[in-house]
Amino acid sequence: MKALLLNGVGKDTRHLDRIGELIVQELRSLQWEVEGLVLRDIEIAPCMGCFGCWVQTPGGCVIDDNAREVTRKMIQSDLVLYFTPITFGGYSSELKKALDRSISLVSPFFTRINGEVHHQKRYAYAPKLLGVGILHQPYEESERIFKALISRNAINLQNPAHAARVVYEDQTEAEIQGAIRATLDELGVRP
Amino acid sequence: MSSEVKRVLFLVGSPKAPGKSVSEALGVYVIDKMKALGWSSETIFIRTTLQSDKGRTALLEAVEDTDLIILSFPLYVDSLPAPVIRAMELISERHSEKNTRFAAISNCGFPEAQHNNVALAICRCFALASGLEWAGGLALGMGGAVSGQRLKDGGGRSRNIVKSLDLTADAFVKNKTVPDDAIRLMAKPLIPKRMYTTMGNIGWQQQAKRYGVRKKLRDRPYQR
Repeated sequence: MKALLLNGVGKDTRHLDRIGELIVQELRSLQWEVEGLVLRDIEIAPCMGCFGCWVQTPGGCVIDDNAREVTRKMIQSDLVLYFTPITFGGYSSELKKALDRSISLVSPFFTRINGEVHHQKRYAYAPKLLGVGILHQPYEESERIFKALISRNAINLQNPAHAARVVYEDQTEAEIQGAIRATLDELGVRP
Repeated sequence: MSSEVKRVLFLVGSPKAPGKSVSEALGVYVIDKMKALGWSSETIFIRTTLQSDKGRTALLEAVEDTDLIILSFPLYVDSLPAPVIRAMELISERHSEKNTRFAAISNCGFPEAQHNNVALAICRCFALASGLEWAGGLALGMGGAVSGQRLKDGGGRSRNIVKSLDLTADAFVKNKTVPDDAIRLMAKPLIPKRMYTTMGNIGWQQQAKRYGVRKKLRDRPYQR
């Protein structure tokens, strides 16, 4: 089983990478094949909102850069992890630059899900989605927004399962590992 | 602020070229109305301004030198476009002590305005984290059916948007937040939902036909 960790930690908060490494270790201990992408080191141009990935080169972005490969890895994984400092409740700009360029993973055509309009699937399958957000300290509003964002993303990408976990910078490694383990259980990815 | 003239800074969150986006058209309508009521304005296109040190400095200076910031953006993956988040990160690093007000207008291509709720919650959170005073947000669905020219003409299916923006501009010049009526009007469907989705689905096929890929619309280039 393949997992892809999209690391959205910025260059000024590199110390947070250690939490990502704990997640990778935990998954590897469960026999997952894990690839981590440190997005701050990967040049990705902003999405131009042209919808070319839907109507010009269907399924692939018209901009020829690293985002194509990131998008391919996302859909070819069984589990995708969004790992990010929680930024005003949402994702960091580093994580978001990759996600903005991945909308080719869905079809432009509309469908209804629970009475609301969304896009149809492009692929028959989708990875499970796990969001791990980092905060300096507990902050209820930010955590609520982050969890809502993961849930909304999971509806739009039609992920078969999703979960969101918030961890804090001052937590010990054991506490973070415990939190990640519990979330992986929730997601049903432990053997 | 030495001048008596109040200043509004318009941040365009769409990555598209000037004159090409719904985000810009919505904000321009409010800005023009506020200018008619005596305010001065400055407009910054976020994507292009972040491309240089000079642009980033200009952005931060403009934020310092205004009474109200209006951000208008398209919904990207349930949130704000990455360059807009980057701009927010930069602005927030310089936590303001001036109580400058901050408002946001979010638009999406889905028919339901509620898709924008998380993005607007992020905007509010940004304001709180940055020492800005949250002045409220507007959410628009069916962005694909909005035309900038129609907004200027004030008619047709854009009439509720125009009413909403009128109420919002009036509130801003009176130092008030986005009125509830403006939020309600902006969220009203422009056309029946089924009509919008049917037109949308036909529209994608027509656009693909122009590129000669109509039969490839459901291609799966990354199929494993």
